[in-house]
Amino acid sequence: MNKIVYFDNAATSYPKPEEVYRAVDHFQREIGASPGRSAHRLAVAAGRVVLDARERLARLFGVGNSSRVVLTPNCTEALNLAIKGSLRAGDHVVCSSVEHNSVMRPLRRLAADGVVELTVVPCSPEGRLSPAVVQKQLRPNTRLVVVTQASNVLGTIQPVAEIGKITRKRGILLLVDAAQSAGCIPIDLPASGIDLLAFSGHKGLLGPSGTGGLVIGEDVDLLSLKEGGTGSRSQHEIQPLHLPDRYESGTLNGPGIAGLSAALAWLEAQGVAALMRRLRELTAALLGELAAVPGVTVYGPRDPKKQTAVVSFTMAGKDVAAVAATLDQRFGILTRAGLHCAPSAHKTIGTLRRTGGTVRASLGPFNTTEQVRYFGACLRQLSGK
Amino acid sequence: MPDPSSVATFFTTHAALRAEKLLQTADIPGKLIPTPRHLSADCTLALEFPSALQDRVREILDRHAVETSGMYCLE
Repeated sequence: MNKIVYFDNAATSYPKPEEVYRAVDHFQREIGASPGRSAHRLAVAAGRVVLDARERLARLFGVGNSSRVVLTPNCTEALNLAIKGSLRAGDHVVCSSVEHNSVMRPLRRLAADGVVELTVVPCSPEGRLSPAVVQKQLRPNTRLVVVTQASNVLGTIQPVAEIGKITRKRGILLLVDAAQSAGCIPIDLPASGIDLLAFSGHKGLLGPSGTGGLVIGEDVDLLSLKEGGTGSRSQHEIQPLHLPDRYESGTLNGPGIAGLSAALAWLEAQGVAALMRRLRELTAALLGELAAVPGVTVYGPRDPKKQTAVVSFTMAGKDVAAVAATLDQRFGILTRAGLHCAPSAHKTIGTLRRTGGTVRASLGPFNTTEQVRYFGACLRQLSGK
Repeated sequence: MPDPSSVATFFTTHAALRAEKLLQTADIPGKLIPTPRHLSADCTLALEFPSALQDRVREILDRHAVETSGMYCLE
């Protein structure tokens, strides 16, 4: 097998559906204009592309009003908007111990600046967050609970709906980081009690990088993270309050959003539930291959029903970076070694200092069982047994 | 003499484009136009439609929570 085997879909998915490449190219060549900035035909065409993407996202997440879908350059900005837009001085905030740094760093900074009090709730060794333990940590001044729906290190899927019941009852906002779950597992905002959902457009949603967004629940009011031109209410020097413009200052990524819209159409046609079943089969095969390699330790749930297609492992006596480098150079298999921007998750599973992280294999809808078997064979060869 | 026209203005481009799509779905002839400057400076695009259908247009936009900044009969 000389072709590249791409197992780094949790960083960004590759390849994309053919329609995505065509949509980006079509936007660049035939539309080109800036959405929402002029009244000429190409600006209107660009605006329609953005509207389609927004409406597809609203449908995907069970949201009725597509103006509540705010588009951002990535999930990190969406998380920063949700966190910094909702928290005020004196607030208490709760998050899990497997959060990515895109959650942890803004929270740590607000805590270090003395703005908020932060409680990090420890997860189980499989990375699971217990709703009962979250409940015990809530205080009268808790404004926000932040949970990553699926760990980017372990794949562990959190009981978001159960946590949502608790936060709803207490009038506390629930922010879900769906960077690893959007497009991989079905998500229904109202049914899960989610107030804020931050998503990446270029991972499980299969769009181009430079896309992401934040879905803002009907009753949620956030301060804007940035102010600027919106193409609307231009007579006012203060930021407009109407959504989505309030949170979308600056020219939108037209080509990226066109690609994302095409990817969403592809996902709709395939069905997220069907894709999830297929990825579960591949994950089961991957876990089976890893279990057959001497000296390999697998972290996380090790159960395709309890995780996304993300699997972390270490090999006895081998440096994780060296394993990933050999997989790339000798076998053409692309994985990611290290801490995956989530040191707290590695602390939770004991791989922060002991091994310097893990090797992470993350699958996408274009991976095959044959590739997973080849990966297993290469690892057995590497283990020397 | 052509039928009189009305114009709906909006706070955001999103609302204007969404209104256009909703009217299309309801088979109401609607056309996006550059917002006449004497009516509003809120959003670049406005939606023109036959005045006789103003009540229906209002009802559809309300039902789908599409906010307008104004609705005007053109002379």
